[in-house]
This record gives sequence, structure tokens and C-alpha cells, in this order.
Amino acid sequence: MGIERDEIQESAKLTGKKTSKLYYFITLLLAWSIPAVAVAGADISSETIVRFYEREDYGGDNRSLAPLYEYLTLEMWRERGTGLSFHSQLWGRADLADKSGEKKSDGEIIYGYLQYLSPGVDFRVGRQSIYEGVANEPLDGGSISFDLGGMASLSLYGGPSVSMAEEDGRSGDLVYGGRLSHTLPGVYSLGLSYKSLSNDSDVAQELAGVDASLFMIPSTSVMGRSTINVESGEWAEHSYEALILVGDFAFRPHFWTFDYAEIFDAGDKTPGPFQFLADGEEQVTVVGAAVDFQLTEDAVMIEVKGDSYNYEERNESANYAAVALEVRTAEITGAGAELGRMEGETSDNSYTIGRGYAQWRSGIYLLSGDIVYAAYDEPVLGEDQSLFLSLGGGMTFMGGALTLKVSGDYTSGPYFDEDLRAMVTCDYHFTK
Amino acid sequence: MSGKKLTAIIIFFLAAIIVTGCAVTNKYSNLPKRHPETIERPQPTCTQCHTEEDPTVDFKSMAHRQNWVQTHRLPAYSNERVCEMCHAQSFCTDCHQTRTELKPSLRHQTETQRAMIHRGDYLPRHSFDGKLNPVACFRCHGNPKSSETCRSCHGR
Repeated sequence: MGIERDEIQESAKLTGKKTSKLYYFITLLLAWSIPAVAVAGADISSETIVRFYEREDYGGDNRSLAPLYEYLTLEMWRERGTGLSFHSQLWGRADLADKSGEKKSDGEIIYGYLQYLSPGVDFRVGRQSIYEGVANEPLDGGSISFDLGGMASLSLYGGPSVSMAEEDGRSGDLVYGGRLSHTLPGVYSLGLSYKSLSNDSDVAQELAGVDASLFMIPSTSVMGRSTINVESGEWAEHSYEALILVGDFAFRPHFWTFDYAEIFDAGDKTPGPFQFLADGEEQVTVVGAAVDFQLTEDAVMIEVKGDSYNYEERNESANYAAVALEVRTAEITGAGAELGRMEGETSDNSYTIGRGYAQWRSGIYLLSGDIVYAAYDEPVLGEDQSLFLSLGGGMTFMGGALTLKVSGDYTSGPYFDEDLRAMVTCDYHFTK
Repeated sequence: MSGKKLTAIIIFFLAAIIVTGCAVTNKYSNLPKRHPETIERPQPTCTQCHTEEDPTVDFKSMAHRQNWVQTHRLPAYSNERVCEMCHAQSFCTDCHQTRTELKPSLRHQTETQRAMIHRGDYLPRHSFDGKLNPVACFRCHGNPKSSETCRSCHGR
């Protein structure tokens, strides 16, 4: 069994490496093809981050870490909002000191796709993420959405899955599906969606869902989604919430219920951390509401919220309540505080948490601060509290195109003992 | 192909045919690809400019109040094209991404007003949230069938 596992892992690694090289090549080919379509506009963002901190490894040796990260976002188009365009985001890491991860360097294409837009049609090919209906998936493939007349639209997608790559390589990984929607403006919007996800040529997940938004009552909207596990025919999720506006008050009641077996079960490939949920019959129901009050229009908001969690099999409940205040002005882009209390069935599920934060911008200057404090009713790894502090500052240059920021944070708690970290960030934004 | 899968596909296409037959032409499909005006700080909510009588989009449910990070899930899943008028995919992948190393609140450490999830010393709290409702984790952490983020510590 050990030899078989090694052979499978080696084969998966090789397949993964070949497939990764293929996708990098395709993305580079797409990128080089852009000049051929006469780029009229481009938007390039580069975010370079260097972090400085120390870690103690299992042998007790101190490692000095200075990973350098680069996030590169590229958008190119002939005519913005129509026709052909290219969109890509990549990240990479190189360790300037000791190794901070499994390898001294790493990286990934987050997305990279060609897009064609015309009235009523949106076609994309390449690595992309789908957020529609029951889908929350990255894939290497194609997607198309188009209008069916004026009030209906259909979107379809398909291609090799990216999310299942860690499980036995990418061979046989496939995701496809779609969403059909019908909208009567000002009255309702209804969607039907479907998704099939295969891992190693076996179906890992097959979901269908209905999502609905109702706007028939003035100042009130109701949104929700119900999802069914197609393989078992059982409901996996019902999530519904309403928004009721009364003057400066917004009232958001919500109702969510999840069946863990229908969500986590993947036949014989359910990930280890959730096997016990897939094998059980637990359902959780969350009933809650949030009320926020705009003290002054878009400047000061007070929010009170609460959730009640009830478990069918565990026969337990937990409750969370919090109050928050936030202020926003032209210079204070956000400052606020929040105090919350989680009351579990037992003291080892209970804690109190508080947060205070602010970001101030004036001209070319930026200052930020953040404090998060948590007190646990029962100690976690011998510690009954966590404290996190961060401070940051920055300046912009070149008319806002270049921003340099320096920040640091301090953590003390169950996992870190007076941990200090520093970070230097350089953001550059170019638009043609 | 299983009977259930075939039934689901048939129902899907029947619905498509019915909806197509009922569709009439109006202005909804002319939603612009990009928001016509550049939004400057302090960012207004949609309803400050768009009246509630405008039926093109339900602006009140899309209005970015201060708690929008916690409440944008359902509006985004059913109105992705409205989101795309202002947000490139890179904005979504700031949080909805499992194949990067830096958690969003660390990568954007000075953006304290964005209310990003997992600020502070989250490792101890993640065990509470995991017992509370692990389904909520996968709104950002990919697909529960792969659980990429969890495996590095919790095993396969």
C-alpha cells in the first residue's frame, strides 16, 4: 500500500507539473497575443510586499524570515467595456532569508482569461472564477453568459477544475454547470443553477439550486437560496434574508440551515477533516438579525446584531451578540469599534471579543491602526486571552500612482508569544 | 448517466425553453458593462443617486452599507453583472481565494476599514468557528470537497 501511494503521488506530481507548465504557457501565449489585437488601454497594478519576522521550527532553531511577495494584476483592452480584453492576476513569493514555506519560492496564476463582450454576450476563456448560483469555483476553461430576450439570461461554464488539484493531481478533474435567470424588474429575480464537480473522473459534488430575490413590497427586499445535493436528492442548504428599510434604520433578519452530510460528503474522497460531518446527520440552523442605524448619512453607523445557532443531533445551542459603531468621513476612511460575545453551550465554546480600528488619509499621507482582543472563558493551550495590535503608515507619490507603506503588528496569545512582524509594501498602478 | 442527473438536465432545459418563450424585449439587458461615473471617496451608497423607483437594479439591496462585507453574499450570487460594473475580478479574489499564502487582512494590513475577515490572532478563534458552522468557512476557502486550507494542518 505504501509503494502504491508513493507511485500515485509521484505520478500526480508529474501530471501536476506538466499541467502547470501547460497553463503557464497558455497564459503567456494569450498575453503575448494581446499586442496583435492592438491594445488601446491597459491597467497594470503591482503590489510588492516584503515581510520580516522570526519563527522557531520543530527542532528549536530560530529562523529569520523575509519573504518577498509580488501580486501583479493586468487588464488590457481595445475599447473598454466592449470587444476583446485580457485580464490576469498572478502572485509569487521568493524567500530573501530562510525558507518560509515548503519551498524557497512559489507562485500561482490566480486568474488569466481572454474576454469578449458584446451587447448581451460575455464570453471568457482561460483561468477564471465563477460566482453564480451554486457555483463558487475557479476553473481553467470557458464561460459564456448571454441574454435571452430582455428579462432572462443564461450562463454556462466548463473546464478542468482548479480547486481539486491537491487531490490526486489534475487528471480527470472537471467542473461544469450554468445558471438560468428570469427577472421582472422591480418585482422579482429568479435563478436556477446547476454544478457538477469531478475529481479524478469521479463525481465529487453535484449541486442544483434555486435563488430568488423579491422586491414587491416598497423598502423591502427578500433574497435567498436553496441548494440540493443532486446525488442524494436531499436539501443541503436553505439561506434566506430580508432587508427592511425604515427611515435611517435597516433591519436584516436571516434564516440559514445547513445539512452537513449533504455538503461535506464526497463519497470515498471526503477530506479527512470533515469525514465525521459527512458520516453524521447533523443539521445546524442559524436564526439572527442585524439592525443598523445611520446616525448621519453615510458617516456614522451603529449596528446591533445577534445569531442563534441550534444543532439537531448535538442538541446544543450557541448565541452570538455584538454591537458596532463606525465613522467615515472624507479623511477618516473608516474608524470604529465592535464588542461581541459568543456564548456556547459550554464554557470552552465561549469568548468575548473586542476590536478598535481606524484609517486616516490626508493628501499623500496614510495612517492606520488596529487592535483586536479576545478573552476565552476556558484557556486555549494554557492561554485565556489573545491580543493583536497593528500600526501602519504610508505616502503616495507620482500623483497617487505609487504608494509606499510600512506596517507592523504584535501578537500574543495561545499560539504566539510576543510575536513581532514588520512589512514594507510598494503599490504601483499604471493606467494607459 | 444517473436518472437524477438526467432529470435535472431535462428540467433545466425545459425551464430555458419556457423562459425564452416568455421573454420580451425591454431595457434590462442594456445594463452598462462599467459604472458610467467614477466613484470618489467618501463612497456614496447606490440609493444616494439612484431612486428606488428605478427598476433596472434593486439598488437598496446592492447599497454598500458599512456591514456590506457580511451581507454581500446573496446579492452578489444573483447579481454578478452589477458587481462587475465597478469591481474587477481581482477585488473578489482579495478574499475568495485559497491559492495564495497571505490572508487578506495581512496582505492589506493598513486597510483596516475594509472589515476583512480573520483580523487579529485568528488561529485560536478558528476552532470556535469551525465547531460553530464550518460551512461558512467555504464562502472564501474554496470547496469543502478539497478543503485546501485545512489539509496542511488537519491532514487529508
